[in-house]
Amino acid sequence: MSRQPSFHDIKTLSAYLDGQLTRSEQVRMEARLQSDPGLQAALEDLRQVRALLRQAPKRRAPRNFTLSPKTARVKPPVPRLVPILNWASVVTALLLFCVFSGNIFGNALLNLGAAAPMLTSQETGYGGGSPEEPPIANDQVESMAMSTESAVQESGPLTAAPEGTPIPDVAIGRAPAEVTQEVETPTLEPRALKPDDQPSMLAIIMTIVQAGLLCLVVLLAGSALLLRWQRDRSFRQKLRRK
Amino acid sequence: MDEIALIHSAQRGDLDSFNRLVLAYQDQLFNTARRIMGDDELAADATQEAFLSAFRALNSFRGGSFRAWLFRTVTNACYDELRRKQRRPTIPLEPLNQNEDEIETPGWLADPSLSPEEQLELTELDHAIQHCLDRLPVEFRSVVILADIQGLDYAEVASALHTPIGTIKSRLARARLRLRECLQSFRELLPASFRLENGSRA
Repeated sequence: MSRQPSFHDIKTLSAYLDGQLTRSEQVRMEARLQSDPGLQAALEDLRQVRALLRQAPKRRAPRNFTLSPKTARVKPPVPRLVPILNWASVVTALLLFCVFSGNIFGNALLNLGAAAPMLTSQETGYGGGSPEEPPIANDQVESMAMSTESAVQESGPLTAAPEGTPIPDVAIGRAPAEVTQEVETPTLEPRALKPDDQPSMLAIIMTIVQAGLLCLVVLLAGSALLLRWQRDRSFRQKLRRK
Repeated sequence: MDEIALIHSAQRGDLDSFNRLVLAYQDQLFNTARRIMGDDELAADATQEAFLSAFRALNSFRGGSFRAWLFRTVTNACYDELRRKQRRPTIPLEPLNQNEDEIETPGWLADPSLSPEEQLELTELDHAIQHCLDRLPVEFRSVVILADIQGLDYAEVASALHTPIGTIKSRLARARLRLRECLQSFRELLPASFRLENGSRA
């Protein structure tokens, strides 16, 4: 019975010594200890080592480790006043992503209905050109044309918001196409001019949602900056008073 | 002011409150660092670094054992210092004073009215324990220092070392076994009151 205890037994004994076994494990270990002198000796070894380590001399710290404002670099801990503001940059990035992805997917959605006419225009207009690029350019031109189109039709005030946006006009809506594809895209003209291509209500809702998200981004970033600045200022004042 | 109030105040940027916590814990942190590093100067550097990073990361403390959280900062600082030391191995083995002489009687925390014999005994014991700790892998050393020398419970050690309790149990048992073997070799050198008895495994 007094064979050398396994490491598993030593581990259990060590936890037993520290009172870290469950009640049932403890009862089982006590029963084994009564009948196994090997285990008893191993437990005594562990107990002695622990007792010796507990007596290990301790020293006083050689100096005080207190921080001065200079060593702390006068940088306050990040404020936890409004937890969401700690994540302001992440939220801002997400919102911006929503705006742009909304823009792209929204336009793709709006263009679905126009798929058939587009195909025909590609067949006739881009027979000899590059196979990928022209349709994309066509999409973009088309969506630009449509958004300006719908804006001019339904929502006068919204068109004033984006600075630098040209006054929506059917002719101006075609302008980018004329710059990039001036010679090769005569078929764009009838498409851009079609007023009833898409339900314009959807475009307006999307524009409003996007404008709302952008406002939220600006507000959030602004308030996070303001709060941070105020906390920094009060922290520095507090340190100066000391 | 109690500890929780001091922590909250320090989290709002009050350096005085934080410094009161530093004074309360600096001996424990320094002793832990000293046992892990085996060198007083490096331990003092690690302790200072630990308090600085603790202040900067104070808002990541979300309750639980503040002591365990502080021990985590000091063990991390020690690990960083040990990694640096491995790259540039230049360590004085004994504590030296400004004249480069070995310090005969270090400032023990124990009763200052110790007799010279008692101080000598403590120094012998200190050297023996440090010698044996230095021979343990650092992961085992940290566990046994926190559990047996600093008296943290398993949950606190697990939290301080960011390691599961099962691993802590296993490392502590292994470390105690190895220390037992090593300290046995000091049997004749240690004062009688600190000698390990001859067990079945000796």
